[in-house]
Amino acid sequence: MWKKDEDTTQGTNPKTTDSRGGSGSTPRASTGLARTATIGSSITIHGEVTGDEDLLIQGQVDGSVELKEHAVTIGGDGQVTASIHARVVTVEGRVDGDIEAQEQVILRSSSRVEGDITAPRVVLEDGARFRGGVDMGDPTKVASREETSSSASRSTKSATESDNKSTSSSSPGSTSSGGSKSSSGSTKSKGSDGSSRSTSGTASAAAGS
Amino acid sequence: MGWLDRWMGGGDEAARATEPEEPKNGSTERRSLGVAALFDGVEPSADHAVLDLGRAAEASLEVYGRYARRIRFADLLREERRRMWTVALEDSVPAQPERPYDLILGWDVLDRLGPEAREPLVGRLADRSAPGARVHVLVDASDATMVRPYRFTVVDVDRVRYDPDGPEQMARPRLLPAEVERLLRPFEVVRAFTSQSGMREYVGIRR
Repeated sequence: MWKKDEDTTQGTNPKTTDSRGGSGSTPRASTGLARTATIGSSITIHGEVTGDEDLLIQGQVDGSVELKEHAVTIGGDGQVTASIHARVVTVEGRVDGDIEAQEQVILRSSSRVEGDITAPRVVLEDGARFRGGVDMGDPTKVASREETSSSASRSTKSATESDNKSTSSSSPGSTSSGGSKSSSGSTKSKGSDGSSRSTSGTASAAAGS
Repeated sequence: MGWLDRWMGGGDEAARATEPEEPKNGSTERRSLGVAALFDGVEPSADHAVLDLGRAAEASLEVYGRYARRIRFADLLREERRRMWTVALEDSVPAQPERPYDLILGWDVLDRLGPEAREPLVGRLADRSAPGARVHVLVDASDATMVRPYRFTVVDVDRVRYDPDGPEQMARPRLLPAEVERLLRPFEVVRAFTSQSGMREYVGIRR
């Protein structure tokens, strides 16, 4: 059911992935690989999908998707009738259900989404069809975050200028580790070829956004 | 009511003075004094709820996000076509779970819906909005017999993009200002503007 990337170079650049893997392969980076699982276009899952790595859905999922620390991409062929919780959610296919992301939700031009979105940032490309609500969170918290970020930036800059030393800020996000994941419920294959079709740039957008 | 006359009359002149040239075809951006009036005085970043009865768009979301964190899109015209009247259209107006709507952008739904659908729709909007909530609608005030339907996107607090939405159609009987004001109750029309393109914008406040 799962097409896992088991490359041993995992971790070299966990946020940079690409999806030029072609038929049957997972999104693949040219310089480094993130652990990204793919639910192929012939796969249907009824139940709960959880895990500890990024996920590309090209098939159908009915139930829920819980990958709170990771990116979920619903590819152009993907159809999800489920609630989705993730760090970043990118939709190119169809979603009927609520989407909650810790960082952002991106609705590509080909997407069809009906449901509520909760995320601090929401990107709606021209052509995206969306019906539902957007909750961008508590404005005081957002303002507080922005102020903290701005303050941190200022203090970093100040420290840099006064000490004439380079400072670096830690990048947000988590490093994929372990790659454990599970799905409860039933899984079935609808086709004989079973190939998953990756859309160029899909995983790159999900991980890089 | 002198202030009302002044607002309503003054808007016409201002709109005519600022209206850009109409393009030959395709999308165009126009200044919208009605949308500007809708947002006028609204505290930026306040925790308001916005309902847009048009299509969802990135630019609109960005503008609404300056004033509200809860934004809902309900493309009623698409809904109308999809449901083929099997469900009353007003039932397609979504509820806002946590608080009623403060700002509603109805666009040209009054023009494009049948007469029987207008009052129930406005009634439902009133039910789902808070006292003091503001509503904005557009009505074609031209004498044209054929009209081009548009989809609307707020690109700034005083600018709207018009995108053609299908071929020209026979115009419905023109809604006169008094009729619009009656239809919009219990929203009281407090400002109105007529643009050079023949669209009349109304801004009402929920009493």
